[in-house]
Amino acid sequence: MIWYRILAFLRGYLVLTVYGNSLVKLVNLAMAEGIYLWDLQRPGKDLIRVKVGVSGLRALRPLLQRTKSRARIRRRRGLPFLLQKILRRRFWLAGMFLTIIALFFFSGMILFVQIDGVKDTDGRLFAELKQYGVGIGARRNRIIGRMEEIERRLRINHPELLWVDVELKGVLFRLRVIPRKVPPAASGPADLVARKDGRITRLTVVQGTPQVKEGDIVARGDLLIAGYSMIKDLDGSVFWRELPAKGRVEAVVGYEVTTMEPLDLWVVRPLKNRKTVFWLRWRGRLYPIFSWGKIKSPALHCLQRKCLKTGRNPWDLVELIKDDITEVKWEHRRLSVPEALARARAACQQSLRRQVPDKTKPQRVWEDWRQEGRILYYRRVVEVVEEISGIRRREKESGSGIGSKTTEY
Amino acid sequence: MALGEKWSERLADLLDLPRDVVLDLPRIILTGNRRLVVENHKGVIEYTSELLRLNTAKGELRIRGEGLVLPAIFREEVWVEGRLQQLEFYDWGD
Repeated sequence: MIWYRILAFLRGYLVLTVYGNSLVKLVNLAMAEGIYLWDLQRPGKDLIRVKVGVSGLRALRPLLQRTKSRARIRRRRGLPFLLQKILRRRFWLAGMFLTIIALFFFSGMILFVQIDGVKDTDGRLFAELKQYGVGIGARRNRIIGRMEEIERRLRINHPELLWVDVELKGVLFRLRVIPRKVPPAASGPADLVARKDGRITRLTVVQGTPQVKEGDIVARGDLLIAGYSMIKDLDGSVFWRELPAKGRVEAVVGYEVTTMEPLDLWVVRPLKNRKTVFWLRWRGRLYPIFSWGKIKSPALHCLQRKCLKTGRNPWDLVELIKDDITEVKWEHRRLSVPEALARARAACQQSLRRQVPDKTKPQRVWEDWRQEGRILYYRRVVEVVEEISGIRRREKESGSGIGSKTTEY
Repeated sequence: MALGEKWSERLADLLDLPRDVVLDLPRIILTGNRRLVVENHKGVIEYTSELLRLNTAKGELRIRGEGLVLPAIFREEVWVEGRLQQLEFYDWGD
């Protein structure tokens, strides 16, 4: 029945009041003729109220004459009449059109930016989000593809944050963070130990007893400045008092990176044949909409997929996807040793940039390479001077001669 | 019951065929006291907001109630809605 109703709405229907003495006969005749009547009501003895399709009224007319009944149209309903009504009201139509356009336009924007979990009193996070293009008025589709990147950058740039999550919910961009709980500064006894392997170049002791000297080679975890100091009393006795070690230990630290670079490469060369396919993804399935272009060899192609429009409901996601398929050809390329060397050098430098701390200048750089068959092995070593000390809290030791115990000097 | 009808009934029992098809009986589906669907009727005899009389192959079916409305009426099927109170099988024989 629902389908009849939908069809009737799409085609248009009429609400009739029919007057007469043989109304049951009229209904039976209409049934026999196959005229679909619905919502039949009998408010009075000589009248019925009924709904009938526009085409049904034409077929009903001779039956009305046969049963000597009269019909009066009370309402015209359905899509054609609705459209007629709307088209007559031009300003209303224009207003509605503008509203829809405005809704569509503004729903594609970020209208609210919210930070949860931490008070961004100095506006640093907001300013950083603005750098990434996130702000009030930014287009959603420009942000959607960069969510992971924004999240990753925030994690890197803010080590004080333990967890970062970005979410785009409608017109709301929400950044949720959990700040890292930093342990309180060592107030009790603590040693300074080496965080990295290196050769000490400068040692400045503010508090504590040094355990190394300039020129010493230390490994990670070695004690640099012990958290106790000797205090000599007037009577000649000495106190070993535990305290937090303070100082600065600079050392030459080496970073080594190796890479191998093949001298034979297979390079992809795009050809002229291209194909574009538009898909609709719904409930995890792809439905092709239309496509153009042709590729000769479907096996050798390069696919570039782009999501044009993402639905907002994550449970019943509808996405419009565009695939650009380019036919490609694999070409064999032989690299010369200098070429391979340049590539290896660039790769190593990039890797070193991630490892070497910022604000340090390389003291020494050296490299070596060797060729084995058609592969070039490359090694690059960089030495930088950096602060290597780290705090290690000291366990309380009893009877070790350190603490309140007094010993003869 | 006519002889042919008896045989048809036996055949329907034997072959487990639906009786409404074999014996041309109306199928009546009642949902609470709110909705009634009658399939395989033979036309409307009388209709008011309190009473609907339907003709069937076996006899007359009278539906009494308040505010009876026919949401759909087809050649083979009638839907009745309202506050249904009484259903009578009038002159149905055996």
